[in-house]
Amino acid sequence: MRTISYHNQKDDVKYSFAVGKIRAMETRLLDGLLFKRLIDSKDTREMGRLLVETSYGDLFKEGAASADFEALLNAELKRTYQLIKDIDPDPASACNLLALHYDFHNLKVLLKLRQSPSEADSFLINLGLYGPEAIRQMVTSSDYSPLPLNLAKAISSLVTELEKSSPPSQWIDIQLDHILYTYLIRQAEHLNNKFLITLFRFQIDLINIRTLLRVKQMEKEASFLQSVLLEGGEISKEKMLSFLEEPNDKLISSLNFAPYAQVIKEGINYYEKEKSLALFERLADNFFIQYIGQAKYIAFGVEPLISYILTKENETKNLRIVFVGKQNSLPKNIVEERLREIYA
Amino acid sequence: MGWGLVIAIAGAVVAVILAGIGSSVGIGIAGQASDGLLSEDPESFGNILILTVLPGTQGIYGFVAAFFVIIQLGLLAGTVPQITMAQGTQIFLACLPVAFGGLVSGIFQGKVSAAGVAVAAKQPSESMKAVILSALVETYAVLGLLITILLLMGIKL
Repeated sequence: MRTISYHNQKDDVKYSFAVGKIRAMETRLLDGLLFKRLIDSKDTREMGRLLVETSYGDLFKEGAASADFEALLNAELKRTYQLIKDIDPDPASACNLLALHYDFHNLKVLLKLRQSPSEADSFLINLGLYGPEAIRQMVTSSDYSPLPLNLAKAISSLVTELEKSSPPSQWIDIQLDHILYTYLIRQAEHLNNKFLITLFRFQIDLINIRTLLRVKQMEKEASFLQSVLLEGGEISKEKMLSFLEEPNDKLISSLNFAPYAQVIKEGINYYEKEKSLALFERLADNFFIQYIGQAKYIAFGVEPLISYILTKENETKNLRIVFVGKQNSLPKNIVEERLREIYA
Repeated sequence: MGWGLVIAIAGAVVAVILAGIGSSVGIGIAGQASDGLLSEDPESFGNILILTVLPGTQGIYGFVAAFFVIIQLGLLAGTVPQITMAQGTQIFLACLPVAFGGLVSGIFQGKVSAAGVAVAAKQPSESMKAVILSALVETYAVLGLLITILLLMGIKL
């Protein structure tokens, strides 16, 4: 991977304990060999048995319904977030930003289904900085004051607009994504954490490129693209807009020197052949796993904690892929193909 | 008692205090990292003990230097030594290499040791290599002590 514009910051020795602990916990991450065995196992029950011997052991203990893997994997993530919160010496730490997208997911669900709240339950995710119950409380009372001021203001005005007109549900998604990423970038800049700023910028870029491809396929006009592109990426909105009229080759060649050039090149080539963004998304995930791998060389700072959370997210994503594959009896090679890179 | 003796004693005190701060901060950093590892894997205690202890030597060097000063001055003999201003200043200056060498190297050695805890966590069999890297920082505390002792021995009272 090309070098990433990231400069180590001042040593933050207050993270010594947390980083020491993380290094020990990283040795218990699931390795490629275990994933191979999971893929080779004959059903989800056998997968559950294999996982008993890992750090997932107490969740997948004998008799636990491994069919309900979704809840178990979320429980593992919840435990990870809690653990990081417990060992993080800084209560206003950058790690808080990572769980926020779950709250926004729940917020999207609750706002879209605000006419029929009972239906929302099955779509809510029991994760997030605030958690689904707190978000539900905010939506029912229309009081977003428990959120940080910037977010509360933005969401309140969004909800007011929502009540005046009834825009399509896609509009809610787009607006909330705008609010979330604006907030994330601003907070990361406020914390002066270059590792996170760069991470979020790259995320925005790759989301924007994906959006660009979809908009192109839908043959919508530039003003529509303008309204859905996220701000704050490394590639400016204007540049993104200029790609709308160009062939995809132009996009690939002009981003040839971006750190995620490979994602774009191979992802888009596959997309043009198969009309599927699956490879793009997988390569993007792999790119971020490589990016957070830089935290391996940091002994004093919050970066290893951030990296651990994202590694766990990736690990549970991989487990989910294997579980879903087993449940639907997908051939092994297809499951293998879909797996994300494993952090080692 | 003349000011010469006061300045000489101040030299011994500075050596102990600064080198002691270096070691305390150094072990503080390395110890926290080691605790982090131990909280997950208590079995690794043997691998990280040396790493954690290494920054502690600077404090001992400060102590040794101060002890040399005390012997040189004959403070334990029960008589008040007569030290001129010039001699006192010489002893004070002679104490500075171990004092500052210990202060700075202790803190940095602590950081190297804390980083080495990652090696002990991931590859316990390689943890001696992390010990060697941390020990490299030690060199400069040893050199400081050496010069302090040579200077003290050279000062004619």
